[in-house]
Formats: sequence, C-alpha cells, structure tokens
Amino acid sequence: MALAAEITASGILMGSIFALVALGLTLIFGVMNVVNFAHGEFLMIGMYSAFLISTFLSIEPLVSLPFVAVVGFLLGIITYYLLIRYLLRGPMIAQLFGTFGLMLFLRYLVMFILGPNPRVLHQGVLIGKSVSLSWFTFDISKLAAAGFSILLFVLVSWMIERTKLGRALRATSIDAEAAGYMGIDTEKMNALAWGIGGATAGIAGGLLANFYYITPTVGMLFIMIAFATVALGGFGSIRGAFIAGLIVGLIMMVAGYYLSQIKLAFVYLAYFLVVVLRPRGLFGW
Amino acid sequence: MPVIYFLIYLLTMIGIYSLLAMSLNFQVGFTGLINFGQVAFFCIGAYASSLLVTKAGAPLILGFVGGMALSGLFGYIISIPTKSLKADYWAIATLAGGEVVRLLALNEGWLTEGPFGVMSIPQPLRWLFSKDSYPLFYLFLIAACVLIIYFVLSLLTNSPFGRNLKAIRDEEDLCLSLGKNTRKLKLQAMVVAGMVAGLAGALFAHYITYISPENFKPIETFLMWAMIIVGGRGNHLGAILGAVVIQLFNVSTRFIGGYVPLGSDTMAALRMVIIGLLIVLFLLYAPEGLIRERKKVYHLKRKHIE
Repeated sequence: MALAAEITASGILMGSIFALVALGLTLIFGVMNVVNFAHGEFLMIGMYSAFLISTFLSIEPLVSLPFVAVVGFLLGIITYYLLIRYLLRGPMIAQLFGTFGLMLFLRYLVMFILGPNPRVLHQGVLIGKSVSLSWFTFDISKLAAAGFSILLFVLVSWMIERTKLGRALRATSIDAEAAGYMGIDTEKMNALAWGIGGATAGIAGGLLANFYYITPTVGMLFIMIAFATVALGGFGSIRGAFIAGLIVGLIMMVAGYYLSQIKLAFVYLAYFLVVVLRPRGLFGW
Repeated sequence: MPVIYFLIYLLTMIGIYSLLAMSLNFQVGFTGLINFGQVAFFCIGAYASSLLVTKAGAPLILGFVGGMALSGLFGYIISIPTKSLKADYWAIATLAGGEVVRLLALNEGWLTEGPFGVMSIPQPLRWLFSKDSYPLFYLFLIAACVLIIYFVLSLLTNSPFGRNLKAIRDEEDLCLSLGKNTRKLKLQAMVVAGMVAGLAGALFAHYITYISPENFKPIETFLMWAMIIVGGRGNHLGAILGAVVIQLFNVSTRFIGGYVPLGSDTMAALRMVIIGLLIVLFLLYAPEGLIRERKKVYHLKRKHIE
C-alpha cells in the first residue's frame, strides 16, 4: 500500500514536469501548426542557463528562474523571427525540417562550447533535501518543480482564456487570416506563442537542473516524452497536456518499478496506442 | 599505404549510406512519408543478419535475406498507423518507433548481447582474399549493391506503381478519388524501403564485424535526413550525391582533426553544428536540394494550359 502510494506520488511529481515541457510544445502547435523539434533543446539551454547563472554568479538556483525564463523567451522569439517566419512560406516539409536543423544546431553548439560532460548543480536551498511524511519521503526539488508547473499551467490558461492578448492568440490559432482582418498583428501573436513556449521550456529546464544531470543531449529524452504527452493529450490542448503529462509520469514510474530499463518503451507504447485508436488525443478537437 | 585504405573505407561508407539515403528518399521524396525512424531499418537489418549468422549458424546469404525480410516486415508494421495519422503525427510515431527498436536491442540481452553488442560477425567470401585485398573486394560488393538498387528503384519509380506513389505525395485525396488504394501503396513503398535499408544494415554489420546499439542512435537518422535535404528529394541521384557530400564532410573533417587544435569531441560537435546549419540554409535558400526532381508532364495539350 505504502509502495503503491509512493509510486503514484513520484509519478505525479515527474508527470507535472513532463506536462510543463509539453505545455510550450502544444501551445506553439496550437497557434501555428508547427511541430517544434528544437523544444528539447530549449529545455536543455534552460538547464544550462540555470547552471551557469547559479554557478558563476553564485546565485541561488531558484532566484535564477526569472533569468532562465527570459533566456527561454528570447530564444523562442529569435527562433521565430530568424527562422520560422521564413520557413512558413515554404512547403510543409520545410517547416518540419527547419526546427529539426535548429535542434541539431543548438544541441551541438552547446556541446561544442561547453563540452559533452554532464554537469550537476551542487548548491541550492532545494538540492538534496527532502520532506518525510509518515510513509515516504519527497524530494523537495521535485515537489517545488511540480508546484511551479501547476502555477505556470494556471497562469498560461488564465492568460489564454481570460485576457485580451489570449483572445488574440486564440483567434490567430483558429483562423490567422480572419484574425488579421480584425486588426490582430498575427505575426506578433506567432512570435508570442514561440516566446511563451520558449519561456516555459526554459523554466522547466531551470527546475529540472535542481535534480537532473545536465548534458547537451538531455533534450532528446524529454522531447520524446513531450511528443508522447502532447499526442496523448491532443495537439494544441493545454488541459490535455497537463493530464497527459501526469498519465505519462505514472506510466513511467509504474513501468520503471517493474522493468527499470525499458520504461520509456512503455511510454511510446501508450503513445502508439493512443495515436492509432484516437489520433486526436484524449482532449484534442 | 594507409591513405588508400582510408579512401576505401570512405567509399564503402558512402556506398552504405547511399543505400540508406535512397531508401529514405523513396519514402520521403517519392511517397511523401516522413520517416524519422529510418535508423530502425538499418538497426534491424544489421542485427537480424549478424544474429542469424553468429547465433543460428545460418549461411551468410541467408543472413542477408533474413535482414532484408525482417526490415521489410518492420516497414509493414510501421506503415499500419498511416491510415489514420496526419503526416507530422506519423513522423513523430516513427521517431518513437526507431527508439523502441534501439531500446529493445539494448535491453534484450539474451538475444542481442545488450550494450556489449554482437562481436566477430563473419564476412562474406573472406577466405578467397588476403587481408589487404579484402576491403577492396567489399567495396566492389557494395558498389554492385548500390548499382543494382539504383536500377531497381529507378524501374519502380518510373513504373505505374511509382507514378501512383508520386500522386500520393502530391495529392492524396485526388489519388483516392481516382480509385487507388493509397493505403496499400504506402504499405508497399514502406516494405520496399525497409528492405533496401535492411540490406544496408546487413552490409554494414558484415563490413564492421562488430555492432552495438551505439551504432544506431537517432543521430544516424538525422544524418540520412541531412543527405536527402542537401542532395535533393524525388530523384535517386540526389540521394546518392547527398550521401557523398555529407559523408565526405563527416569523414574528411575527422581527417583534418589532427591539424586543428581541438579535441575529437569538440570536432564531432562542431561537425554536427555545421550539418544542422547546412540543413537550415538549404531549406531557406535551396529547398529543392542540389539535384532537382525533374517533373514529368503526361499528355499535355496546349489548350489545357490556356
């Protein structure tokens, strides 16, 4: 019983991080139908930014989060204005491979500059600490990451559902041309989607850096999970991304407990099943 | 004469990757199926052939045939979800599929020896040649394979079957409305492509004589993609040219590594940075690649254009 509760709890904690990584991906896809293969690299750059800022400026990793968010936001915006904008004019195949080329470029640029060795954050209020409840212990850094993830989901949902900016974003996603006629600067809205996507990926990286190894190739693992999450929840659906993130986290923890090595294969299996049985995902439209 | 052997190695690898690029081009350039798990075919071909020979004691030729058959079977399986998936969803599914194959090779140790890999894979007709002349023989073997596959694929793509595939790529709904069974056609295309890539895998395994899951990381798929983006899609020569360009770049920068004051890791990273940049630049400025597809116009009458 205690074991089941522990597996469930850690699955939910991990799942809320996966959800946060998937949030930006689903947002970008929802607004402009582009699959961002470089999203995992945004996450990786977020992790490195958190690492570099807190190591070299000796700042508490939690305090570095706003800076990491800014780095991610700028990365998203720059990607949009320098690359995506031009690719949108080309065929669909160009859109798919543009971000894919960007993925290779960013991943190996970081490896070129900082080397392939994994880094670990050693200092910080969250690192290495845990809370004990009566039957099991939580990693504080994971707990905080889950908390931030929920907070960001609420924030982004509120922005999209309730604010004028969010309405403009939704209008762009439904029909960019019509939105343009209504005086919405769709170019700016696209850039904003990339900015928010980059910022959430950056923050996810900043949180992950507290308890995960930082390597240039870490993005690959998380982008695969994020793709599975987004497909599970339905492309473009924010609520779907959150719930699917939790499901993926649970699958990984349960499968990981019994078959530690191939737990990822189970996530992909779940993805395949969803994709074949219900291509729209659980909450897609 | 190490330079000669280096050259032979380079050409051999170009040959193997030409096969892989032609296979990928057959899926992407002709049928419009965006496969991000191409390395899975390569992996299955290599493992199936080497395991059949080393563990089951099958003759080499059976290993090659088995590798091609299993790889083709994987093509059949992976093409099943195309019936309900949009192109980009399917692309992601294949990316996951490629990883699942590698994870299985890594974790099913009873069959694949896990991370240690399969060692001392025998080479075909090894006893007929001396140690020095064998690489040259293998190069000829691979060149022959490339030529045969080139002609077979050209025949296929110029046949009514190939025209149907191009029709699927350009306008699937139209193709459906003309009564073509596009699902079956895609399935056949994936099986053919799988067999070609499986052959490349078998050739690779029996050339290198040692394979491990390390050889089949997603990065290999990305290299194959870089080849057909640079070389050009929709024609077989483009795929071969792309394989030549990317492999030349990949291997020659390894060669000049000694003259540049950078570590081998840094050089490897720099190489991939440049390939990533190359993909983006080609997509922005030369989306058709180095060799353009020659579009054919059938039975065009003047009045139809006006």
